[in-house]
Amino acid sequence: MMAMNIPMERNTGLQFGNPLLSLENWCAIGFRLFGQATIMLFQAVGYIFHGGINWAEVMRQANMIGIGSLYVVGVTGLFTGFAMSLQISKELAAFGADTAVGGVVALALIREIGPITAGVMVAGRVGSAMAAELSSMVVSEQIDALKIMRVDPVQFLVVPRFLAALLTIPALSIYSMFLGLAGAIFIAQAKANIPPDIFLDSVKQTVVGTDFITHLIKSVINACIIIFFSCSIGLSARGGAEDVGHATTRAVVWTMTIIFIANYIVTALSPLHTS
Amino acid sequence: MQASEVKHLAASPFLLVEDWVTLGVRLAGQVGIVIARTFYCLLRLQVDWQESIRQAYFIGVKSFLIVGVTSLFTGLAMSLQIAVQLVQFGGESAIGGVVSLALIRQIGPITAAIIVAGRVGSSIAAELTTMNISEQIDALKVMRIDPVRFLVVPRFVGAMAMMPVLSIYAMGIGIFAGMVIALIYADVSFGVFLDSAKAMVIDQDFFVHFLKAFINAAIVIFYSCTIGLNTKGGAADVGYAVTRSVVWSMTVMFIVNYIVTDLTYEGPR
Repeated sequence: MMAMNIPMERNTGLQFGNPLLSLENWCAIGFRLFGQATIMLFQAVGYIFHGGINWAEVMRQANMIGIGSLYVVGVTGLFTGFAMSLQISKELAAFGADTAVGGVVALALIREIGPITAGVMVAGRVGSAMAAELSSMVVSEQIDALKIMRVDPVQFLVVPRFLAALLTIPALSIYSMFLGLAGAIFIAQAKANIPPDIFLDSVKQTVVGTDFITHLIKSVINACIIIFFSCSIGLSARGGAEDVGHATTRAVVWTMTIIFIANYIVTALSPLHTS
Repeated sequence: MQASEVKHLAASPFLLVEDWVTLGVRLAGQVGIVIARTFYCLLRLQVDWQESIRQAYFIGVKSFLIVGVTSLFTGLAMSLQIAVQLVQFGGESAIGGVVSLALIRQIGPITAAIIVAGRVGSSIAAELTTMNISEQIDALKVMRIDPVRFLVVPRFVGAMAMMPVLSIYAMGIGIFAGMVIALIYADVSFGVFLDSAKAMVIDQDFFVHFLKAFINAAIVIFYSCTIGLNTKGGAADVGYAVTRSVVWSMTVMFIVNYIVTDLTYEGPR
């Protein structure tokens, strides 16, 4: 079992300390957290291969993660599509490149903005809710009760959440991309007089299959990051009501940072093509 | 608003929409009251400056590292995509202008604001909810101290002072990442990149940048403080309040970001 009883935050409160010391502290916390998340990933995959998955619990979690995030992810994706299409379609229409607007907007939405918007929103909603739930279970000694009954918290709590996230987060990401495109088509028509069929023709000519593969890879990686970082932060929390808040803040910050970093790594490794 | 009240939400999609709208309208009203009282205190100069500086340290300095890392990688990913597209059209010399315009007008403010909403907004919501459930807010009221004046105003002043700094810093790091990517992938030297940026970027863009930074800071502070001051219950509700504050402040930020973009967009150049 991982060493969960080490307090994660050494200095709390106001300290105008040494910047190098705080950098060291940040790195130490990061490495430990990364190790905990990796161990949890291996344990969860091991349990999945050994079978014995509680599918009813997986469905309950999928409802919580997927259906619960539907409105937030939809609204965010729609307005991201609005803002992007507004800038791009007016710029390109000025150059007489009306026929390229759809391709540029769709490529940006599918490869970059769609996965990152959905990932950040799901990290804010699902990751923080999970860290809060697990850390309040730790605080009220429910995790200790599980261990006494010889039930591994990873098998009982993390595996269903992981499978549910693998099912729903790619779906949420595609849904966000779809709504973003719908918003982009609407704005291109309303603000730059580009008819929907010209927009969609351009999308068809520009977007290739590997773009969707990049999209799905990014969303699956986001799902893993959200689940394992927020669950390991939640399970390693200690203390009272205040520490539930600390754990939740830390989960949001860490999952978002790692999502941004992983997003760049996938972008750099994926086959980039031009429109 | 307690965690136990949202158990029935999975029942019907219409019920879910209705509930979401009800929560949103109630929250908007609560936020409006907090904004009104905050400006009432600000106009009468009832500001605790020492506490404001402490909050500015917490909001600004403590977010420096994480905002830097995030905007570095955002700048890398975005300029990589833009550079690949522009090189194909032979537009290497325009990379600097396009990347810096996108970073100043859109990506810089929204990246800094998302990270501040995640870090600062969630910890403010957690702190105020913890104070609320341990009856410290009630104790303040018993001592005839206005919680808005004592808790919200210093955070608002601190955030207003620090958010433009964080936003400019995110933009600077992003542009540095863009310069590195342009040098590696498109063989564009730093000088050519900066010349292109100088030719394309005008003062108006920085006005939009600062406007977005101030609005985002206000959204994060007011939503997280309102949710923190209005949550009752136990340990589970602290986590619930944090989730709500992150979700609401980010959603409202995305919507307001679009509205500001629409109102300030003055056409292609």
